[in-house]
Amino acid sequence: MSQKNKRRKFRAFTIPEMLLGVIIFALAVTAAVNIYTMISQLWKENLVTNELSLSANIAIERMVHGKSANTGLLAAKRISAPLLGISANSVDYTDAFDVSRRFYYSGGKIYAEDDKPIISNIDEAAIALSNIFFNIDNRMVRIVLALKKSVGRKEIKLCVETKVSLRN
Amino acid sequence: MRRNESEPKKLTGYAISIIKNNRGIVLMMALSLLVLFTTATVLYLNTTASYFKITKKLTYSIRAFFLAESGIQKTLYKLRQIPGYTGGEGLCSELMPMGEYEVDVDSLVDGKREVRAIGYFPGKNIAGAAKKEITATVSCPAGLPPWFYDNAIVAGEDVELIGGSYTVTGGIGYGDSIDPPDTPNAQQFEEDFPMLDFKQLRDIAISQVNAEGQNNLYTKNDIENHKPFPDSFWFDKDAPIPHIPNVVYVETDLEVSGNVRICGFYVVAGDFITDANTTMDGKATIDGCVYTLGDFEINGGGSGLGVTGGVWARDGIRLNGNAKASFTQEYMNAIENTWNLGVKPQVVSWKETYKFE
Repeated sequence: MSQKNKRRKFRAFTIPEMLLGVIIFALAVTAAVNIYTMISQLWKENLVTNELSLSANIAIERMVHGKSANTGLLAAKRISAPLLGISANSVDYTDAFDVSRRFYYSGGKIYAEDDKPIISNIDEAAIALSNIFFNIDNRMVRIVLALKKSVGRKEIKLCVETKVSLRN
Repeated sequence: MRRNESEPKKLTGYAISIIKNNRGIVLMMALSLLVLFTTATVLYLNTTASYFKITKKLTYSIRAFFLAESGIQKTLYKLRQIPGYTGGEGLCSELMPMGEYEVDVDSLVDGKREVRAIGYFPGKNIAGAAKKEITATVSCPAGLPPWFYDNAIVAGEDVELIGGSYTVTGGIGYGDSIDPPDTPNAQQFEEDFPMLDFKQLRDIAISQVNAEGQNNLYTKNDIENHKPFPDSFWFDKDAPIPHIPNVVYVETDLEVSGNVRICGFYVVAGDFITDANTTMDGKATIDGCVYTLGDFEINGGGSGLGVTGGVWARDGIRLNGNAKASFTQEYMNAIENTWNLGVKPQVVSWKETYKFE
């Protein structure tokens, strides 16, 4: 078989074929990278939402019930800060044993009165208390805990609230 | 020649040429890879979507749970305000910007009400909303139990009498157990240990001001600064009978030690301390009665160590060594007849209930 015939039999791709192939490949790779980036971001957001939910659960439980019996807001004798209805990044109260206690946000963590963090790795936190019903011997407050954390450019926010009948 | 229809079709010339010259193989491989890639992407997206749903459910569940707890707390508040409160307010959202809860309060059975609170987030009638249910039993007694003024010692949980040197003059009431089990005059009660209306008692203590201008309220600071306790059970000991007892309201733990004698009706822990303990050592004597929301313990000591009127402890009572606890009818009558002591509703059990629908 002559060289000419061989070349004809195993001829390479033409330039339009190559161009088309490269374009399709580029499109496919770009789509794949974009999908991967998007899903990765969603995964991160999902994980952070999960983390914030669990953190909020732990923090509210700890605030309401305390570390040990009668040391949480449920057994609080009085709440001194924040002023009712105002949002703040700390809550100060006197527990059932007349011990002053506080929860506060600082540097990505919410601390308990013993300066040990109860939750960490958050960007911002706010605690708000509102008086729902009040009289001298029967008092109920609403507690709202708002947490925020950034994932890339997006901010994940979570807000959990409950009510507590203070001991009287 | 006619082809037999049952024979397999022979490959046409075009198909044979594709296989023979390999010219379509790249297309086939590319398509296969594309199918593989698409399948993997769909699976990945599907898994991601599932995790999103799980996270959403978890977040909603946590919010729904705290909304349900709000319902229980609000009902407890209402029951303390309105003794016959039966709920029936339907879906509540009040100040909650999102989420709802509803509460059912069962009718009074044996002095207790079953309270069921269901929290919904983001709302009851919203598809995919999380639902959490909490059931609490709230004790709502109409008054003090019949045995309240009849015993030398009453413990909401356990009574522990150690050694053979203790003396209990009068009946013994207990909620859970007694040791030794064959102790005479001991009786187990079925009612919940009553939680007194401490505001009422605190007000009485504040109103009782002695000749030196000192009232009967003892804060933590007062205890630390050794504010003197009354020296008589009677607030008006010099007045004509019937006398009024001293109500001594102690907002913190009460520790009595050394050779001292203090008198009155001691309410330990006030209305906000539930685990305060009353401990006595040495030769201390309380001439009167003690109501404590925590444990009551007497440890060792010499003669005269003990309480003369009666003891109520919401948790346990432990008498060790030469300890004495007596019942004094006169003191009990004075407390019973001078004031109508109120009892407030309390949550006695709490559980999260699951219903698979």
